[in-house]
Amino acid sequence: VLDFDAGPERGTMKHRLSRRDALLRCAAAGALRVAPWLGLSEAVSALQAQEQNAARKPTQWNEIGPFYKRLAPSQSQLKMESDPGLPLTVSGEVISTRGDALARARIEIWQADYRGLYDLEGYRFRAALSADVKGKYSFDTVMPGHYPARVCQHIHYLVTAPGHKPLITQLYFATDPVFEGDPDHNYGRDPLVLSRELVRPVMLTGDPKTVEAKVTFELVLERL
Amino acid sequence: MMRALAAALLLAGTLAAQPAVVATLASAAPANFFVLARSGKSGAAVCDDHKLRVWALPEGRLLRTIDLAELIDAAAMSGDGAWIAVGDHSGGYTVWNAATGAQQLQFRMAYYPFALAFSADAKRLAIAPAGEPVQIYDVASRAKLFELEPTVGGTAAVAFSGDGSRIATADADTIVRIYDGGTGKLLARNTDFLLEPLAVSFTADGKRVLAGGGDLTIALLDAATGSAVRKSAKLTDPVIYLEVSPDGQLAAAGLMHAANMLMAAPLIVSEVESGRKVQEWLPAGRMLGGGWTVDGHLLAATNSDSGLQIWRVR
Repeated sequence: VLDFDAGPERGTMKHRLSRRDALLRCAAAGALRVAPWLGLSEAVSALQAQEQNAARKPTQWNEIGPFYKRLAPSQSQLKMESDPGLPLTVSGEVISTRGDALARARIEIWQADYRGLYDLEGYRFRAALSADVKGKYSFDTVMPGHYPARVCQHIHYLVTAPGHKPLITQLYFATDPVFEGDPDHNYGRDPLVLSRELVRPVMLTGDPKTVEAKVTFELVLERL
Repeated sequence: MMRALAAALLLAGTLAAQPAVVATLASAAPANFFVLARSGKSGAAVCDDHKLRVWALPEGRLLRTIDLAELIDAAAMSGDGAWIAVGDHSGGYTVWNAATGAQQLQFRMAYYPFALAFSADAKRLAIAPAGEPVQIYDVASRAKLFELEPTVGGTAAVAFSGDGSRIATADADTIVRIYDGGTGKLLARNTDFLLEPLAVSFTADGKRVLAGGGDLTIALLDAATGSAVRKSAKLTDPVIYLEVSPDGQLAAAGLMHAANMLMAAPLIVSEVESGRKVQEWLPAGRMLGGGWTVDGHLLAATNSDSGLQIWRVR
């Protein structure tokens, strides 16, 4: 039985202890109790290993690009009925590297329209979302076109949550013709795609008359 | 009536000032960037064949060719032409002695650069790595002097004042920041921009800063307070280059074709104090770089079938 209720990272210690030292200090202070049949050292080692296995890799940073605009409206419906382009729903969750849902994380997104053009004068295809209590988010848009100076279709993200490093990244689509069906090998055709993990699978749904695309994009933030 | 007459005179002046090619620089491959020494005596281009070529100007004599291993994201040349700095896409940064071709500085950072800038005295180099704080280096001693404040998204453009006492940054969080050039202490901020500012330049006396970007305007800021003194009318496209002439009278603004940044966009010359446009030039191809020279000329480079063309815009 591990009764762990005093994570040292919540504290304001001037000199941060190693995780192991912190756990041992918790044990000494009674904040961490170890069942008698588990040795203290072995239990701490096992807990550390378990935590490391559960740790998530932070989402790869990707540059912000030149068209970020602040004060985007709070809206999850970016697509208007008359907007041409493939309807696209992007959803996912915002979590920490420890796997905790980051409730109310703020997610700013901006993208080109289906022709590959950004709206600089207004806020078309720009939004500021708030993740729900489980860290989940979703928005409806259209598949962005190819901006002429960029190789790949993409959606920009700026994600912030208290106690975590802001994440700036971009979402790419495995169906992008640039990848020729093989993003594993071809994602580097756009020099700004720094990680294969940012290229997400696309699921087509609906019926032949109204095909829609769905993409899941999880956002993992590092603690400050 | 008077306004119409003034507009007609301005138009006539604009048409009269036709830029001319003053040098054609032979190159085996088109260029991606061109950097100019403010002395006007040399320039360098990062070319598609992974070579950095350095020419003497205005005669256009090739001085040196340097092999580049990686894709280059940014380049800068010191005003006296002594140093050339480049940053590549894998995070490698190099400063060469332009006269000897020797490497003066070489190091790695986590990411490629958004911007590089030398101080006017060529002693310091500002590096804006993508998404990271700007770092200030002493070129001769190779020592890192200090870092500017971390900002969300990094810095799109950085500039020293003429005397080096101030540094201005155009930051991706849409803020223009002004720092003490000796210590890196933040002195002032301007938060008027909605979109990212992409270019900054100090006026000749260092008391004001020109800044522009995705808002399609150029703002004249008070360097002491950061507040806007004047803002231009809306331009057609984002501003990606700003530089004040050596006499402090004129400002050159390079625009970026918003719908396709690889296409040609106008270069506009305006009076610094009034903001009045005195010249606008749309080159045949995308402007690769250029700037004011100490003798008051404004030069700009474009690719052509016969090589890199250097235009005297003013």
